[in-house]
Amino acid sequence: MTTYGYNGTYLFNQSVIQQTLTALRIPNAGVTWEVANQSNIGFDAQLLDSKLSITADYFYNLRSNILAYRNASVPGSAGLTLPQENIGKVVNKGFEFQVGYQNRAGDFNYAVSVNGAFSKNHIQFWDETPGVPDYQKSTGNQMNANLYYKSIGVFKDQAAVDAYPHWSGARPGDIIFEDVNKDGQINGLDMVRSKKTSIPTFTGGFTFNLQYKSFDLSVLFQGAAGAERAYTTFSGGPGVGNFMYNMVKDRWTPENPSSTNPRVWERGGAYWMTDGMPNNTYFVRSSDYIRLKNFELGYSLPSTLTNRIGIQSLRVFASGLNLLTFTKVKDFDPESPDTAPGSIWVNSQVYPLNKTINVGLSVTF
Amino acid sequence: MNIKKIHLISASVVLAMTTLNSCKKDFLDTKPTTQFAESDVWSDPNLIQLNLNSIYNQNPWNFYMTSISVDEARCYDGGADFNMSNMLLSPDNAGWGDWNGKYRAIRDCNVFLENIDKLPNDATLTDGVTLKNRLKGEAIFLRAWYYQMLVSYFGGVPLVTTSYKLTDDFAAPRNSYEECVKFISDQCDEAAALLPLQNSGDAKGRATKGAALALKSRALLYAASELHNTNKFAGFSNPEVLGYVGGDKMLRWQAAKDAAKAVIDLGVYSLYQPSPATPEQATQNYEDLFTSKESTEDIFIRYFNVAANLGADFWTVFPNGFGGIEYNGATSETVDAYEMADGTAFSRNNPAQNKEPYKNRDPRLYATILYEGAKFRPRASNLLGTDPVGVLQVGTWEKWDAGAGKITYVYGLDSRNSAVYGGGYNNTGTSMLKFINRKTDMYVNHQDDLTWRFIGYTEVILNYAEACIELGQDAEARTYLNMIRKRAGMPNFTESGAALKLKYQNERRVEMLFENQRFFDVRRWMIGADAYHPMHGVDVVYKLNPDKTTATIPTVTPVQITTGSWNDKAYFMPIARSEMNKNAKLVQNPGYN
Repeated sequence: MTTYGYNGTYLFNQSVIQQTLTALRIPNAGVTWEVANQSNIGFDAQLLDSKLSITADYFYNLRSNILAYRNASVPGSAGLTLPQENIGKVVNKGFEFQVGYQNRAGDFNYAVSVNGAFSKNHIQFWDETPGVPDYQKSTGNQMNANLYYKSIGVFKDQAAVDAYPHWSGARPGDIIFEDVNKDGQINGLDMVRSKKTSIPTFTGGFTFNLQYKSFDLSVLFQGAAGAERAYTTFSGGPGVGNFMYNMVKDRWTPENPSSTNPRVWERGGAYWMTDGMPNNTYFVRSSDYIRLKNFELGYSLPSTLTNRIGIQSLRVFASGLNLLTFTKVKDFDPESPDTAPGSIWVNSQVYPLNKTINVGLSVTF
Repeated sequence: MNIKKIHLISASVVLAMTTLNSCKKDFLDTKPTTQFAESDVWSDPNLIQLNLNSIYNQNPWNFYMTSISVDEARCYDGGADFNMSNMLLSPDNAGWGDWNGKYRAIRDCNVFLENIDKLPNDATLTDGVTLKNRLKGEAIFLRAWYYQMLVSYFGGVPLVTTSYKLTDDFAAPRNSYEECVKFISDQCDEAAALLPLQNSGDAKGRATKGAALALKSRALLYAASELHNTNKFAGFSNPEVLGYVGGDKMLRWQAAKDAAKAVIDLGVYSLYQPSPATPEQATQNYEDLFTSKESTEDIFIRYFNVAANLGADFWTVFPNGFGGIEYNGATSETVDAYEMADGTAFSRNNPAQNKEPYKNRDPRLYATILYEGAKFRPRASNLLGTDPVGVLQVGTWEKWDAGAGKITYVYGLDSRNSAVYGGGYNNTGTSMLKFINRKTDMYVNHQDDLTWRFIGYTEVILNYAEACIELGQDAEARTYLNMIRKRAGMPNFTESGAALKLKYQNERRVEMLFENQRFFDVRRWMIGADAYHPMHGVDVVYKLNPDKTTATIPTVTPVQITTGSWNDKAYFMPIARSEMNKNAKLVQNPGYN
């Protein structure tokens, strides 16, 4: 049975409020549980007198009967608000590992550890719009992978516009979309499903701890790879000029006819940037990074010295967070949160991570 | 947590279960009070009306409707509907006409009509009809309403008149334009037979016989128009989805005339304040018509009320110096379309008219558009020193700074350099006044009361006059058009033939500005190129005189604010690529493949 519920209000007789009652959803009597088959093989070992430890794990998860909407194949003219149906099938597989080694050599006491996790899902079955070309299908790709036009540069001048298929209205300074299906025109059929999403397929870390006499050092690197992110400013136009420095410093102008950086745009005025929502790979960047997440160097005064002045222990230290980042991403932090779960858009209203440097003294009486 | 505590909690749970069980055995089967089973909805005379309310609620409305998609207005950032203005519309950016939204509403109508007979019969008459007949009439009207919109945007569309089940085959071909118009017209007749002549009490705002007949008038007028009776797209495979492929055009105009006359002959509507004594009174009457809560012209309306927390969002259209974002600024082309008060055309080539373009114009202009110096409402208290009267200030004052020996510029409070809020609002040099209640204070509430007339009596009069002109009945057309002219405080039309047709077209443009008409009118009249071209606003400067004083009369110069062009494909909207992919039986409109 279809369930009906209130979804708003409407006025009659100038100011008389009445509820509006609508079918909340079309029933799906056949709904059932999602099925998850999880399998993994693990390996744990400690070698060389427990100096070396190795952990490795491989997993293969198959989720089927995933509840999903069949919107992709039902035309709008049916007018249906569809129920979720058990139609999705997704495989998630990958491996995790950690290798650690610790040892002592004379006054040196050290420990090294490397860990990493690789995980990637792909859709085995999804509701596809009939008639879309293979390179636009969700099936075979990761969940939440987006469709983009492929940006292959910028129209340097009118000759460049004339020489390549282009969106109607394209002019010098506009981004060139690749004619993916080689039909001599640029339209929605030239969009391509991305192989990446906002979620990295590989994450890893490296830690290093060292003690030498009264000195101690600890270092943590972390990194991620396989994700893509995008960043845009909301607007741009007469009165509201709001651009990233990197977008404008080498921008196309008639005097500087760049073939790599587009002109500045007006809000809603460019086919490649409508109301802050670009639809092409120019604005999408690989967010791979390696970051020196944590670094700390300390020195503890010998207790023979501290005891004399009535102090149990005294340690001076310098530490830093996010000191170094190696990434191709320029205008945002690769670890910035998403605007919504699964979105590749960087939430520009959140402060990026701080680079922090601490110098300290810890004294125990 | 210690063990004693757990015991205590278990005990209380058992106790609670016991208590509930003892008073009501089926307590787990209680019906939720905010959700209802389908069977309850159709049998309950109250719930079934609330379901119908949700179909009314899907009727799209905002202050600007289609005005920025045609030449009536432009919005902030000098922008408009960029893809439409520049003829870049395609299946990949198709959103015009909201195909999916309309079909969702149509499905709701279909479901309603499939179930209405489950409502128990009740012979009680309210406003002369039974509840069941009224509800059936409303749903039939609303379905025709949504189809009429779809057809106006796309031409013939699939006529879906039953609700699909999940297991159905959803692919449906487009019906011919003729079939669609006949369906809409027939459904309007059917609805009119069921609906009351007028509603009373809390039924006000629901569809009436007049609403159904007026919708029919609109549908038949559009159908008789040139666009649907001329094949502009010679090579197109399916001309029948765009218009009639045979038959007599004159019979269609006759049908359009009869449909409009049927509304007039109901005798329940009349022009609001038809005989003003002065032009000032005509201006006031015209303003009152669009800000009144009820009028003699109301055929199909929607109420907004701020006390009920369902006010209209005036913030979107208020001038930026008065606390709004000034979304809908009339273009120079729109302002220029208003005649001089004596009925002659306004001309920028006339030096006196060009010097003071807002002087001695059609009285309706002063109730429709705010321009430089037009009195609006009191400013916020901190601005009373700058502007004690409360007039629109989009201009720039050039003032001589004797000390520094140079010109300084003072910018108006509603300009793009406004000290109040500059942020990049419309650069037409005007702001919308029609529909705006001058008492609304943005600094108290962004919303206010409004009665929006989706169909008013003026439209029916104009529909009738247009059909008369096309049928060669100029005298009859003039009789009705001159009612509108008189109400507006403008001289009568005396023209005939093609000259009268041009006068009429301009009259409709001016009289029904911002009422979601012109977007469709320029299409059905096939004058797309007149409405889509580079658009202008005005630059307003109070210039520095040679004696270093500042001019008191501003220099108003039209300047181009947006690009624009025309392509015949835009007579019909593109169907979205995804919809084409999902329904293999659809044919795309010409120019979009």
